[in-house]
Amino acid sequence: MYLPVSSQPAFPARPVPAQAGIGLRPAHFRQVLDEHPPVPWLEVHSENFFCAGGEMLQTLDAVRRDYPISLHGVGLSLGSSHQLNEQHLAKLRQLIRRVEPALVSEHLCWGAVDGRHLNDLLPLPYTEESLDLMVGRVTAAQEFLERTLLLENVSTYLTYRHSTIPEAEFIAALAARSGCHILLDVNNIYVNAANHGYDAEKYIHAIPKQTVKEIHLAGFTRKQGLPVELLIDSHSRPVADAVWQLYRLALSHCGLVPTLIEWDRDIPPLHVLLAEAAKAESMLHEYRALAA
Amino acid sequence: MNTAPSLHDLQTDFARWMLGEHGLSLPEAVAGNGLAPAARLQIYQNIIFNNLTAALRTDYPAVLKLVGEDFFETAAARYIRGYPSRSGNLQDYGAAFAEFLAAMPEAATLPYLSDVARLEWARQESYLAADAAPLDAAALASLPEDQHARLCLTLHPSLRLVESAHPIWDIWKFCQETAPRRLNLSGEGQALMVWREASQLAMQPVAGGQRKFVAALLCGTPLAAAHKSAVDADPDFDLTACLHWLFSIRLVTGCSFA
Repeated sequence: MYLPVSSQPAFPARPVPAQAGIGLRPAHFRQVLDEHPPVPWLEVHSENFFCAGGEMLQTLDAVRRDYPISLHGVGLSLGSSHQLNEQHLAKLRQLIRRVEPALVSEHLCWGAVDGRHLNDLLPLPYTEESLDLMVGRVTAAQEFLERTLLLENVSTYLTYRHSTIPEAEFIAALAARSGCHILLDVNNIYVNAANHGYDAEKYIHAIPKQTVKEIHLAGFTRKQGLPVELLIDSHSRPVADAVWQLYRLALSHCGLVPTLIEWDRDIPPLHVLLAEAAKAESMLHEYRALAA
Repeated sequence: MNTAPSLHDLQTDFARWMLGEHGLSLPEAVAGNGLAPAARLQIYQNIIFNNLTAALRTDYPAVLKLVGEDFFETAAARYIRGYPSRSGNLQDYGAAFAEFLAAMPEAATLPYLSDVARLEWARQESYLAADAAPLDAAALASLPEDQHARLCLTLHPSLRLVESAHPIWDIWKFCQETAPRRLNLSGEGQALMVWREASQLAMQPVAGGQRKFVAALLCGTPLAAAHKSAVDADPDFDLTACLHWLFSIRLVTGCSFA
């Protein structure tokens, strides 16, 4: 585990609590700054703040003063077979040093090859080659960033014939070998279980619970006109009932973990997001009561 | 792909397939699981094109308004294939859209379109540019007059000057209006300054000596030479008034000596 080094912190340390937060997107910046809603923590997309200056960074500074913050990256492409994107990593390090976030996360995926970016969270074949590569990349990134990273399982719409390792085992092995933590996206588990025909509950039980430091929840859409069921991780809808059920199971397996509501398309009014977070909070509360 | 492809080969073929290359063995590596492997790849292709098109729509709302949805989608799809993204940050995508539109045959009847795109990219750059504290005008006032010739002024990092042979300011204003009205495209060329004022984008047309002066300062030209180029273009150019204006909108952020 790497501890952040900082001689003179600009902000007080604010750990992310085991409560339900929301993903903060530019559409709600103004309202959050003005109204200061009582949400226990916020997560932002790291790349939105890779700028040199201006309103975005000012907003993030202001938000950081009032809330625990998590930086969630979508573009580092850790699983790319070519070298680690050092330019991207350097910008992330600069941002980490500026805002001193409580958590820093990225995805178990790839998104670029030989400098050509597809700007999406693309599926890796789960092979020994991919695992060795990911372990090396995550280790190098953690050393460079002086942070333990959280790696998130992604939604996928295809699998590869030459994959040999079940996804849950792959991510568990990655955590064991690199020392990274897991950001368990319960919606993505549900989506993948439906898309690829595996057992979502078995997946959750295969995850080493002590490595799970954050949970994501979001809404999916169902792709129409296909001969098989295909769910798309659209982040455009409320969390589905079946995903709430799975979330309860994840809590009973992992214990109390900071939980985040994500919504990235057709973004609703802030109060809708806060109501989704309140729903997660009530489930966390049940487990808090059980644990007490 | 009779044997399992290496990760690098798989990713290379994946990227090529997504950008429209055919005849690759990639589908053989994909499990169909009730669908044609190509149909599964197609889902990713759609998502990738939608994401990149959405980034272009965000950066180029005026271009979109001028050409309409169908034309924009066509232009975006062709741009995505011809100009692959080079960054993991979508904010960087679209820098060459103006260059692409200038060469797009179907846009030949809209000769101003590429300049509108240039203006919109300048706005994007300006919004994300570094911060800088303004210089106090008193710092200049205290300088001995004989040093003015060598003086170079640094302007705010967010400042961009967009010059066009078309009435780009009129076109821009037209694009901001909801009610349709007639737009005279045959007017004279215009130049626009774009910068950040209290974190929000500001824009203002500049002409004559002012335009030459700002253009010269942006190139790092010393004050005396910038003054000369402004007076050459406009004998009535008022240096003191222009400097006062630039200081008043907090665009002068530093000075040095050539």
